[in-house]
Amino acid sequence: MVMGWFVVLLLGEKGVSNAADARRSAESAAEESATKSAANQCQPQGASVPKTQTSPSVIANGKPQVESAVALVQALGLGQQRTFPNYVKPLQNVLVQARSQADEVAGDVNPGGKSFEGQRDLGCLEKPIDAPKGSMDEYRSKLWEQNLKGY
Amino acid sequence: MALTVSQMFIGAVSLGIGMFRGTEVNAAFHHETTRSHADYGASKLAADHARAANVVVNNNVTMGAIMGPRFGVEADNITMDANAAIACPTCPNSPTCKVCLQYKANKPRALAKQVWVRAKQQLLWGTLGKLSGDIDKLSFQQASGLITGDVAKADSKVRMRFEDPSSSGDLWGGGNADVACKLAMKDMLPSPVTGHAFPLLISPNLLEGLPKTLVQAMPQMICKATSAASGGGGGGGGGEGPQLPEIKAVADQTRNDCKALEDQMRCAVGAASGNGGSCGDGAEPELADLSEVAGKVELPSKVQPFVSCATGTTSAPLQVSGGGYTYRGKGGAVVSCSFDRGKCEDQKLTENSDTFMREKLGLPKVLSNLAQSLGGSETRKPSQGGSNPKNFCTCAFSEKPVDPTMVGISDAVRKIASFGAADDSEALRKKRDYRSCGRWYFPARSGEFASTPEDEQPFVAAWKWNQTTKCEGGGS
Repeated sequence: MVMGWFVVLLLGEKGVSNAADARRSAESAAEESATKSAANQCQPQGASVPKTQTSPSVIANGKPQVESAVALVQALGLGQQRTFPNYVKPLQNVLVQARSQADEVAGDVNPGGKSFEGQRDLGCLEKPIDAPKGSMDEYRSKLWEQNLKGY
Repeated sequence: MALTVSQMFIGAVSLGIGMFRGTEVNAAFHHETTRSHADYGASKLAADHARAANVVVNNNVTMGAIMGPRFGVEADNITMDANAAIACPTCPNSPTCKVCLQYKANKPRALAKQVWVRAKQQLLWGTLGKLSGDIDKLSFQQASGLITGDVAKADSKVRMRFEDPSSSGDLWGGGNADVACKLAMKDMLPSPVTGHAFPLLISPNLLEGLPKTLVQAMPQMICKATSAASGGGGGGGGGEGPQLPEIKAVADQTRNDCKALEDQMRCAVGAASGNGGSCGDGAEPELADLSEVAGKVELPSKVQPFVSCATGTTSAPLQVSGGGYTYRGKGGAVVSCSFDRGKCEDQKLTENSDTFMREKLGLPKVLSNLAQSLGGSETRKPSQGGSNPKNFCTCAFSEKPVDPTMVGISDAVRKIASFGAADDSEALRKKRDYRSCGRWYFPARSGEFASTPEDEQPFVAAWKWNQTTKCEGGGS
């Protein structure tokens, strides 16, 4: 009879442990996938955590509030320059949802089949779009051709 | 009976261990997920500030991009006016008069461009410069609202707060208009913009090369206040700047200025030698011997920069041009001091050309408030300077109480296990504020942008960010 209690105790421990492992896997996978995706300029990246599924999604999360600048600059015929997207490109996040299922354990306290979820959200790095010496000539030449050339 | 009691005891212990373990696992995940909200907040804030930095760069570049054509148009207009000042007095008989006629026909076109480019330059500098000053506040307001909303959707019990430097001061200060002007000038010189009016509007240009010289001088002429401020306040000019000796008025003024200074020296020498009457106009330059005179020559401060003294020896006798004085120095050597007319005319020609261009040819006057003269604002650079300023760092904090059921289970198990001696868990009740921070910076230490000079970094859109645990000198 005493042994029976020990079996119940051990199976309970195993159940909690499996559930904790599954949750841990989901959290780790979400963390890994989000960090990798954010560092890869919001290109969705999976995680190398076994038995988990990650679904990273890229979310547009706000735009710079620079309407006055965009209107003014575009009125001069500008807008195709290399760094112009800095004014208009949406800011991006990566949101990762990761799922993992716990292994089966005999007995009543069985977490098997139960799904555990982890979620991570991070702002993304952006690829530099300029050159080491800047892009002033691109803006200047278009501005000149459009508005001043030929007197 | 004994078996039943022991079974109950073991059952209670195993149940207690299981529950306690459960609360611990729950608390661990609670801490981790709550901290992840701070990570999200910091990463989004820093990413948005980095983008704001690149928007400031775009503003700076656009402001510089219109300043270049302004330099070109201003230079063309000044050169046209100077051509007219030479050609028009020769009308109607000289062949040069055709330049004057071309000037009269085409000046309105050049003037229209000048008015347009000045107005647009001032509008751009005013509007974009102000936006650069506000952009970090705007992006913080927007980002913090979005973060708070996103976190509330994920877990409504999490409370977020932020420590952002945009709320306590300007992150991007002014004071680099001179760099913008210098970059604009460098961009302009090899471009077809410089001297575009010739031969389009006037041919031949009687002052060949002047448009280029003027464009080179524009950063000093138009952005002078900032250059002087960064260079230590000037000190009398001289040397730098375009010269217009072809303009009769400028040449006459220069000659007169130097003659007046030379006369002042002659008067001072006359006073020292006790012969005050020989310093009038028209007197030929002469060398006075003051060896026998005890009195010292007191030269006016305006004359002093143009007086040079040298000691003559038998092997290297003195070569003196112009008037002056001699005396015997220590050891009996003859020292001769004379007025350097060449140096005077070089410096005065630059000064008089500058005055002529500002007063007669419409070059803007230099104002004490540079930002005001350029449109109300300036191009921006980090107010603390450098590529990685300390205040380019922001922090997000997240906090959420542990679920009360978990706290209750933990307390109960602790009490049972200690036979009632243990107090309630403080660790689970403790308010935990998780901090995560992000800094944004110019990648000056390595990579393709490492070659960008520091003063040009606010004109290169490569600002990026990374996450960190705390901001230097801030956060708790």
